Amino acid sequence: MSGIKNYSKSKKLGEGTYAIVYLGTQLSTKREVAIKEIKTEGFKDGLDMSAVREVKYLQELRHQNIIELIDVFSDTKQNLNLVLEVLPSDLEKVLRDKNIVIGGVDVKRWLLMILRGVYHCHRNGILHRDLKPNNLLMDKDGNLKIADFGLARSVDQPSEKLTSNVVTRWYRAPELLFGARLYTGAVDVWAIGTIFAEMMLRTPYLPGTDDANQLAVTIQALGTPTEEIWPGVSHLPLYNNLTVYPAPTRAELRRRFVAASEQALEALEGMLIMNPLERWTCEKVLKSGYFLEEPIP
Amino acid sequence: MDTKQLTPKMHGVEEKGPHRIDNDELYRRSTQYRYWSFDEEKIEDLRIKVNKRGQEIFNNRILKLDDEIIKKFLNNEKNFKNITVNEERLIIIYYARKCKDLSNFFKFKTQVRLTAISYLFKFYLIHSIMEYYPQQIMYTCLYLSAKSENNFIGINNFSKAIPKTTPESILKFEYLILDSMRFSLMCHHSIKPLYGFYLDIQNVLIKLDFNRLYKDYLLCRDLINESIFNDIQFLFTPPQIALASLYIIDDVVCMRYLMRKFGVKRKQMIIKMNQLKNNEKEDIKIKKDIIIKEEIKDSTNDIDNDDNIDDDDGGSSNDEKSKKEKKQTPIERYEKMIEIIKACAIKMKENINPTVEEAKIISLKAHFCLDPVKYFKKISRDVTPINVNTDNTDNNSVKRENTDDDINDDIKRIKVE
Repeated sequence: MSGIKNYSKSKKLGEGTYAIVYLGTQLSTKREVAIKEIKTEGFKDGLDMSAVREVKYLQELRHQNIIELIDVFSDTKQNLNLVLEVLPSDLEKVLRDKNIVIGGVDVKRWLLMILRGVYHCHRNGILHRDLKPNNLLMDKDGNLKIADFGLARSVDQPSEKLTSNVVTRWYRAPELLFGARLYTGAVDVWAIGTIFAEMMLRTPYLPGTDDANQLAVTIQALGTPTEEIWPGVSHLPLYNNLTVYPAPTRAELRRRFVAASEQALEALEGMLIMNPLERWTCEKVLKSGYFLEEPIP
Repeated sequence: MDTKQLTPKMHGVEEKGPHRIDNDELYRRSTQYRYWSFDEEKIEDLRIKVNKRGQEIFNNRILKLDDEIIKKFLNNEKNFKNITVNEERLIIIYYARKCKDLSNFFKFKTQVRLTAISYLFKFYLIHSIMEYYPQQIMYTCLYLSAKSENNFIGINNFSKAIPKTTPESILKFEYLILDSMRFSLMCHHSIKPLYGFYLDIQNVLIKLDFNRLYKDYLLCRDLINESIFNDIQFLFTPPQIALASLYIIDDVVCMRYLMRKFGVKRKQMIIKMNQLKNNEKEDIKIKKDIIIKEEIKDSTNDIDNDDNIDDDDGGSSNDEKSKKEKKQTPIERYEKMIEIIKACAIKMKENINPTVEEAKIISLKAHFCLDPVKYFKKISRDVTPINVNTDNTDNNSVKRENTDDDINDDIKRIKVE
């Protein structure tokens, strides 16, 4: 780890709750970098938890589809600075930009890159827990990289209770909506499924307006889970008085996702299976027929 | 799972597409492996360096003193001996054990305790106790670990429970610790692979009595929890440590399991297990003595030489033939693994538990090194000279000193709770 002297900050790129991001230069290499300065003022408990998580996990994850943590240094004010690769765009921007034409091969390529990155996290025992289009950054060549590990955590013991208050609402898996305290990487796969749908629709697939509405929107689109398809679901804390909607038929999905192939729909359905134990893993999606059929990314 | 299956072929889009990384490679990419894995000599080296630097820092502190009286006083301190590498290690272990108690007091989960202790040991591979006193560092390590392991507690509540601390006194070392550890916060502990082995053994050794396995598992957990105070975290990987614990607790299960996993032939397995039975009497003796510096090579040779079963020598002669071949046979791979596990088991049994008396003496010396002026002022009120060295435990003079009453605080508090 080198010190502050090796970096210069030029302009401010953005500001979040716990960090300010600057564009900067690594002086020794002249490489352009993004410097995320973690705020310390106003955090009475020392270094913020999100920062702790981000540093902890990015230090372990080296993968072409995960944002690269180049260096960490503390400056004179004892602020923690994360030196990251510069990724000028993100999936959300691309999807919202109506001037950009998105083809089937782009969608497939992006999905592949998301899955690879998340699969690498899961292999390392790390759940991202906040996958959404604006956390999926892009470099100049359109390579997609997973960023923002401020909510990530490792799964230490299968019996360990976790908080269900994770993942931005529209991408939140049903087990989280039901308040489950035990969950797995399947929550990330669900999020990828909804992002996959969003890439095809170019609009959020399940845009709930609040937590209750999110559940309604989710079951309207994908059917109400029952004990039959998901044993134990009715015992989850927030499962009560649900209107019973049928799961969508393939024909209905076909009508909604006009351009999608049968293989694409199968992968989509696999990632959006209500029962987290049945839901496909990243690996299963990566190995699915969707990636073996034309167009090959 | 092979690469081709997992990732569909790329047609020019990503020439440098990913290749399948195996689990070993995954571990090699971790900071635990990249930053914190050493052999014994390297650890010793680091500690000697740290101690030397601590010594220099202390000498500089002394040189800066211009007060004549202090100098005179110091000249009188002929009995003062420098803090040794071993003393540094002892006091760190002492506080690591305190850390365990403190963590239990806060009812943190196991992970927090293990990580905090790991941080503490890592910190003192970089700094000397003559630079930073381990008690304060230990508090901050525990606080940081609670954050890192998702067991957050507010600083006010944390500090309130620990006498003579303020939120500031704990937080002020947070950056220093992070920086010293090169911002590597992830710790892989052997509890997790142990649980994995526990599950896998149930699949592999179907006939094994479950109660025996469960009992083994619990004993292994205890053993692992107790062995965090030695250096095995720097020397071996978590699965190796987990297997070593099983080897210590129930060598038969461990060996059977590994032979199955490595695909050792049934015939060879029977020979091995019989050898073990024949050696059981011998083994019991060894276990009783717990010979720490047992030579690995010797013990394996013993097994070979004591080979009283003359069914056929097939196993061992086959071994020798195949050693010439490049690819290792299952039995060779198995034996290599057992060798590592045995070496790890020996290290695991190294149980260092410094007494309060030892800790007090080192603490006294450390406080002197850390702040000679303050120490001198205290001592000049008292008549007692610093007659501190570990060989000659002068309890009376130590007891009159108050510099290390922090040590007692902890004990008091924990007794009260």
